[in-house]
Amino acid sequence: MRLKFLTMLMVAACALNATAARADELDDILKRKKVLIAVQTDLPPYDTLDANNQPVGYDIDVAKRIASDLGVELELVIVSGANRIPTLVSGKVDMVVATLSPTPQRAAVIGLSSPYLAYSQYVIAPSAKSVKTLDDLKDLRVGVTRGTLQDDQITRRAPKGTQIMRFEDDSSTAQALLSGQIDASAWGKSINDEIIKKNPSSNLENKFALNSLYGSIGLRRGEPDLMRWINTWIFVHKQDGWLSDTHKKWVGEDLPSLPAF
Amino acid sequence: MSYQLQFGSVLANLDELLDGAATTLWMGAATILLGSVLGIVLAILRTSGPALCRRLIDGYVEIVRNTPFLVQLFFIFFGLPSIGIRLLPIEAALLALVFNLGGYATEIVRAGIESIHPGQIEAGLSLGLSRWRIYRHVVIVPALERVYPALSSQSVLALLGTSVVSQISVVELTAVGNTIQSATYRAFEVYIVITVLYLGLAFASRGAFWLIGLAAFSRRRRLGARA
Repeated sequence: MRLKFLTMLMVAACALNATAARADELDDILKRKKVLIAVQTDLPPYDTLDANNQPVGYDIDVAKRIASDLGVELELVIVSGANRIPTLVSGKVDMVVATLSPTPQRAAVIGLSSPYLAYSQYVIAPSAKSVKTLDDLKDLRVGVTRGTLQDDQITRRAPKGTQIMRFEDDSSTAQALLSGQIDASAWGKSINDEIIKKNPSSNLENKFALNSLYGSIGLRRGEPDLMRWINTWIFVHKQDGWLSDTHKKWVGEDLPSLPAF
Repeated sequence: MSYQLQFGSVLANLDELLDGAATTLWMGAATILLGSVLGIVLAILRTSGPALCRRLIDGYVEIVRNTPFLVQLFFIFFGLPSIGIRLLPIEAALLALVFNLGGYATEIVRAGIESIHPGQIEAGLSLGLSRWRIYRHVVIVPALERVYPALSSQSVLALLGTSVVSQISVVELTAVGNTIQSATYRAFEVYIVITVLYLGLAFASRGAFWLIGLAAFSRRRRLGARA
């Protein structure tokens, strides 16, 4: 039994050797002159791919600005909604900028910055379907992306009898909605607007607001200097209007007011 | 930062993991059964059917073997609704899995049939056996026996390939693992547990193939051959 335990510890130690040696992430980033930032590419207008397959969007601009303000090179690592936290925890990136909403459960696993983003999640469904409240989701097939906040919201708040179907990434969930494999889903309103605009023949519309959400930048736990730097960064660019301008550029609306914590 | 393994929150969901493993098992078993039958029928048609039929089967085999399984799955689940064919996730998954294994099995069984030496068939003729009996006893059964190890290994691959269908929201072992992982953030522990479960499923199916091989091929039994 003890031998088994030791073997497991050794396996764990080997797998996480890379992170074990780190003393201070901020120093490491400055020393290696490169910051690794995880972003998604499947949530336009916050993050998507342009015609040349390059990541673009609000999150990408935030990542670029963080790198340039740090004075280091940027390496973007593409993740999905489901694996963005594991990617961070396993030490593959320094931070996650991917519309990550703060929750108590997430805060127990990773460090979350003050909000750099705010939005409302809306339920989206074909106009032919009468969906006005959560109760109307009963007997409908509602698609969510596994492990995201829509998953949490729908799983906790949808009435009994709602058929919840979980997909691995947001583009699959959107594809399922467009191909009629699911009846409804939910994202931030501007993400829904983008889906509706790009697929006019699908007759989708925003139904009702599910909740208001904020987005945090995710770091590994136990990195107070880097956390301090990120919160300072957010404070500064809230004040100088850069975050709001960038938000307007991509989302077309003013950035809602961002509280700090 | 050092990592401490904590299996508690993962093992608390063991029931769901076992349910997922059961779904994986029955999906795998159905795929192997239907896919092998499809492969055998198509291999027979491919070696002794009309020319048009042979060319169609060739086309099918090439499509299966030269496109990724994930693309085949997405084609069926996300693509077919565009022409009005809307399948449930589990139906689309089974269709894609059988379609995939059928292609590989066709090619494996065809190789077996073509490996039967013409001298064997002539020997059967000279013994006065009917065409049907020659085909059955001299061609098909020895051909299947010869390719049985390849067929069983492809089948185990199909069983493990079911993990991909979590992509279209089928709740099998990998999907359950991913859900637990996203709720507990214990990714390492979750994947250790589902690795052990997949190993168990794969070993069990190899054992089953070995037993079926012994029962089906009497020569195998005499020789004590391994699956």
